Amino acid sequence: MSSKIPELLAPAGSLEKLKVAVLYGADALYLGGQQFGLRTAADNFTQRELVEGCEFAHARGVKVYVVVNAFLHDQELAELPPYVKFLEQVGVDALIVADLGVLKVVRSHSGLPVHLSTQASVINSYGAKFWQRAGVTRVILGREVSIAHAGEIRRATGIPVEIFIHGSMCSSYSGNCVISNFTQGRDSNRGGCAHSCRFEYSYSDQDGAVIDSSSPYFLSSKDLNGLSLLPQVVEANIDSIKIEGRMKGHHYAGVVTKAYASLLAHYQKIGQWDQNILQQQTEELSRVINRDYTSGNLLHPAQGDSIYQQRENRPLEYQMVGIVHQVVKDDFILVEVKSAFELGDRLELIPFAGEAQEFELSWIRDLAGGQVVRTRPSTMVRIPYLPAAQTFNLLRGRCAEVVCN
Amino acid sequence: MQLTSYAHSIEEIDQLATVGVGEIILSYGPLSRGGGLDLATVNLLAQYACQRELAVSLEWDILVTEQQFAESCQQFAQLPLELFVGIRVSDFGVMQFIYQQHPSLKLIPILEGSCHNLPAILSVLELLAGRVKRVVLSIEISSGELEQIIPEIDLPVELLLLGPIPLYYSPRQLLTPLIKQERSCGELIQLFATSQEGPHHGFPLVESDHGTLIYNTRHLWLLNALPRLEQMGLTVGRVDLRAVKDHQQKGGMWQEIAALFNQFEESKAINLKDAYPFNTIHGFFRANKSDVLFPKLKNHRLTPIGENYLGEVVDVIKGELLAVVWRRNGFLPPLESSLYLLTPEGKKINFRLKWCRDTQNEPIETPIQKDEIVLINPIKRVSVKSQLYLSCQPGE
Ligand code: SF4
Repeated sequence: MSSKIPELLAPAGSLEKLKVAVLYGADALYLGGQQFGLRTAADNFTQRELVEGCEFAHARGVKVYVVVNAFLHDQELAELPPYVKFLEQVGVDALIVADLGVLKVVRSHSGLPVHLSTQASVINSYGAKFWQRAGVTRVILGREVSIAHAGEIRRATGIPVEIFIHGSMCSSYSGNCVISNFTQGRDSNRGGCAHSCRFEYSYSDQDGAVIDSSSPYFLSSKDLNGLSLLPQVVEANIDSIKIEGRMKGHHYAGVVTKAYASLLAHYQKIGQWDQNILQQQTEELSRVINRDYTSGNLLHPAQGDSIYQQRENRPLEYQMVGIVHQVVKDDFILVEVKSAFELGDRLELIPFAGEAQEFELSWIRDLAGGQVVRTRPSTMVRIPYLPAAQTFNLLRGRCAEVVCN
Repeated sequence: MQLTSYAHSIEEIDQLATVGVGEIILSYGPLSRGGGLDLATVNLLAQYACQRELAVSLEWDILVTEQQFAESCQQFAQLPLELFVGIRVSDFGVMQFIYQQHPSLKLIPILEGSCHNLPAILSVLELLAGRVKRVVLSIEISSGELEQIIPEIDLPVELLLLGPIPLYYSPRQLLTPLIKQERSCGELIQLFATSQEGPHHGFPLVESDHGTLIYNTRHLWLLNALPRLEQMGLTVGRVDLRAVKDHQQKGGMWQEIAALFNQFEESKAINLKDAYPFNTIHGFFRANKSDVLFPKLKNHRLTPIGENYLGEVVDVIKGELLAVVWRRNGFLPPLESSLYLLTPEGKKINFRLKWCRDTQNEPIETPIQKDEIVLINPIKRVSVKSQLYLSCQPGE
């Protein structure tokens, strides 16, 4: 049995998050341009940012995949060729598509490899074969496929497979929910999902009688967490594991990427799974935004216990408060404030490797040199130098100490 | 234009045959999302329909996981396959399976969810070359688009013209926990869901052996567009009356619908719509603008454009400085350069560069590298996220 380490594919919702994910250990990133993707509310990349993002990632040996996974109508398809040519020029490593028409355009206007998006809901070997014949070079399987079956699909077809390992999930088969389309006039398969599955519902039966249910959130899936299942992933010879979350913040991008990267890196080096790292990183994953975790379908088909019975995300223990922009040795760290913190707060620096380091803020200064007692978001401040700090490290504080949103 | 619909009993087949429907659809429980007939009934109805000279197609519209695939194939193999003029399939894997393993069967690809453009539809036909009986198009394709697409397809084309609109399909059994009762195999749970957070109330929900389905509160109604659809070249119109429970009412409706297919009369179509027991919509038939909202949600003023772009304001200390994250690599504008800032509100503020320092407050004298934080002279009415540009290139 081969013990190939899968590629760790992280979300890049913006240029800054791309840099964070790269530095916290991603092997590859996926991102969207300003058109043709599904995360229209994400910041997404301008052409200039795409160029810069590719340069940054490639300089560190990290691949960049661009998402073009909306189901397009003819008129939009006509606008696609120049964009595809631009992406090829920029040197992106692959495109992620869901639509056979898009695939046709990409193949006739570029030589770019094409990964099939999970939106196409390929969940069996024959489906993978169909798309292989159509010309895709990798299949991102539907989230309904278990790790073991993903391995079987790979064996049966020879096509590289990617699975989702972490993050939010549709409770529907991907690409098979058009609630937003018909209720809000927003195409969920062109980036307009209104998240109706997260709404609170009441129920009645055929005769109009109200069903007394204690489960008002019957459609809202818990978040996927496959950290502890990495041994099975490696065993199954999966080619790539993907973290969902282009819409999520820097803290999520950094911490989740680091959790998977550190466990995989240790295994790659030592050839054994480290239970301490697993435990430590499992705790870290509980500190990022989530709707409780489930293993989804990674082991067995998900059922009722995979549903999250709340409206809001789980209350967070930690809040990201800033991102390091500059480290001046023995002098100061320049931090972009993302969430307010105060003099005397105990914060944590999350290094690219190793455990988070706690420290107390003995002073804070603004860029004009003035003393600051309480910071404001969207400002830059200097704080005391920490030897472990590096540019793009994240800082966080416990919610009991800092202001959590 | 031909009419096709679902039949669940001998009586329904009789009703459909009487009004001149050419083809019926049979749903086999183990292969059909919303549940369906058992094996014996499929056998019986398929044979009976053939005797009555009706064509029969079989619906295999579930998505099939690798785990279930072998079992689904076995279920399929038990059916009287020789009686079916086509197999209606949603899962591309199932299409591939039939294409590879059952060379004598014809396919009716259901492209309702994923193919909204002509190249996509033609790709499916190419990949299933010679094996497609007809193709089922998506109701999200507008009439204007259909007009362009249908004539380009060299095969019969089908569209849903009347019936429930499926909104959601999950493999998870999501209703059982609500009623706190086990569901036996083949049984359906049917409920309605309402949310105060959404614009519509009373979504029909169904849990079957294959998971959970949600339908729109209003049914699709395109019978008023029959002449136009005929003109476009639509070959098969599908009418789904499975939600109409009253047998007699259904029989009457079949007659009227078949009459409309034979000879369209607007007034009769209106009467039929009024008598239809569910609220209806045209869906996206007139136009599909379900993507137009999103570009507006973004602030395009924040998108840096052009060669003169220098960076973005990341901090403003009133009367003291602006901090800019520098985006242009290896460039230092000379002091007194004309610069301007574009604020998130769209205001353009021209100014001259008076001083330029690094974060240690030292004057900058060498070209600034990308991503460095640069401090410049303060400008009034500027906020964070404003974009900094050079008014013209040095020397211009
Ligand atoms: S409403 Fe929920 S299930 Fe539907 S597309 Fe959006 S996230 Fe997925």
